[in-house]
Amino acid sequence: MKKWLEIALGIVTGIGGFLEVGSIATSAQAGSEFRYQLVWALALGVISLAFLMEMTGRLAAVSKRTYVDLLREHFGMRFFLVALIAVFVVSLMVLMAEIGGVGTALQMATGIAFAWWAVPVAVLGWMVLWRGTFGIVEQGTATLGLLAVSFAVGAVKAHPDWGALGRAFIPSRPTENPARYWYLAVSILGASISPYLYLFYSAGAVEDGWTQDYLGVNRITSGLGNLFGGTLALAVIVTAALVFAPAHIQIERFEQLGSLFVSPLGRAGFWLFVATLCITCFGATLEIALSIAYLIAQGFGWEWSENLRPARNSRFSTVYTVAILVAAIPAALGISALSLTNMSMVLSAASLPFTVIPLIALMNDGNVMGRHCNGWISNIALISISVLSIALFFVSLPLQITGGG
Amino acid sequence: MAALDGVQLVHDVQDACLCDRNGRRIGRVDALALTLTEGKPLRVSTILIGGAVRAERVGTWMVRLRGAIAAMLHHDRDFGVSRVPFSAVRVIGGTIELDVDGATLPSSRLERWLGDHIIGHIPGSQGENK
Repeated sequence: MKKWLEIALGIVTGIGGFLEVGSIATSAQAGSEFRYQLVWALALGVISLAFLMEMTGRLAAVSKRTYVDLLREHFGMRFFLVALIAVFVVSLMVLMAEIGGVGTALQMATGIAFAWWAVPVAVLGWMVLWRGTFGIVEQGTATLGLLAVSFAVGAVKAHPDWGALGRAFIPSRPTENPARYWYLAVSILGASISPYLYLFYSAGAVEDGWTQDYLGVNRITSGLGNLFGGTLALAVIVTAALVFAPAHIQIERFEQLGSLFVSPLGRAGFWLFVATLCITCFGATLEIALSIAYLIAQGFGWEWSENLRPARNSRFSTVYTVAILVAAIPAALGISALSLTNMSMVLSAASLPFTVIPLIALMNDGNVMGRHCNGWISNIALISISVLSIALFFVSLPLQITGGG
Repeated sequence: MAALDGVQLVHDVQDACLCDRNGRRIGRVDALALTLTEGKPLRVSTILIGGAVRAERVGTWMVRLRGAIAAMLHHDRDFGVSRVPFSAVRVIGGTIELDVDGATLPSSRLERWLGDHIIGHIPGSQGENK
């Protein structure tokens, strides 16, 4: 019974974890500009993330150590420092975008400009981290994020062409504006495969005391959680393709997204979208701030746990406190959530090689994984994701310049 | 400490996470010092923990950067470096357990300072588990 509860909570967390400012924004942009054509990029992102989460979860359950621990221990100080800087910078930028996302949702709800909300959101987020346990952070906001199921209802009520949608799972060449098409494809991949997602998942497995008995739970939650989360992001692409694309509406400001579900769901669609954006971005804010603290504390061997009182791990608590407050600055200065989001998603894609490629060695090291090393399916998937990550590393910045505007 | 048969220094000890006698994480093995006494085999004598030691592993630019920061703060170059005798090692496993009190080590100075001066003064910070 306990295992089933954990699986259910894990799937819910997967939905909440996947859907955040990046996946909502990039999916809406993709749908409004290229209809269903970029669905394949989302599917590729979801499958890649599911594999990476399954592997980092398995690594933690078998070795009782987090992925960050093993990065430092097996690859040494120099490589770890490069990975740390890359993931830290990208995670901080995504955190800035998430705080901007919560502020924008509150602006849509109240009419008060998002800049005014940035600091209160950061302080509220810090208070939850300060007082809350890992379970509250992981599952609390994710459960509220179930509101996002309304996206799927909205997409179905918008009457998509199921045949065309099915065909869009196979990649196709863009008919117009190829630089923008590939830029959005990279943004979707960056939003889907954010390093903080699997670093947080791996730290969570250790926080929750996973053992090898949890390998089944790990497989189901990483697979189904991301599948459901990805389905809701797909609902955003579909609805944007059916509502915005025919009216030639391009997403230039986040506030435009408020009308996305009004046509299929009525006025309730507006409020459901605003509430979902607010909750999922707030949940991601907590997860990313914690991820940054996990990354640094685990890398340097400091005491760390979200379940301990802050004075028991002062350096760890200081890192998430400073991170969340610093990340509020751009939104407080009026920098829009959408521009922060697009930039951070592309950089997120560019940072992937530093955390994806080392997994090949770790997941095949018998000293670490015992008899739970990767099988051939996982290895083919991991090598494919590594090749994809190298390609993203090289194309991300040129595409940001040519297709970002 | 029992005999270290089969332990590979680079694989099992270098960069491993360290716990003190109370089970608290106190850092990582940032470097190891070896002692050569005439007529005896080379011996691992000391575990080094701290930023100045890590900087040496990163490169001279990091050593210079840290040196400049240390000079600004009027600290010695190896301020905050802990030197723990290797004989304090109790167990080498997923983490290395040391027979020391981590709270008294120089490398835990920042943890203590933050706890005493900032974090510890904020309501809700004290106690064991949340």
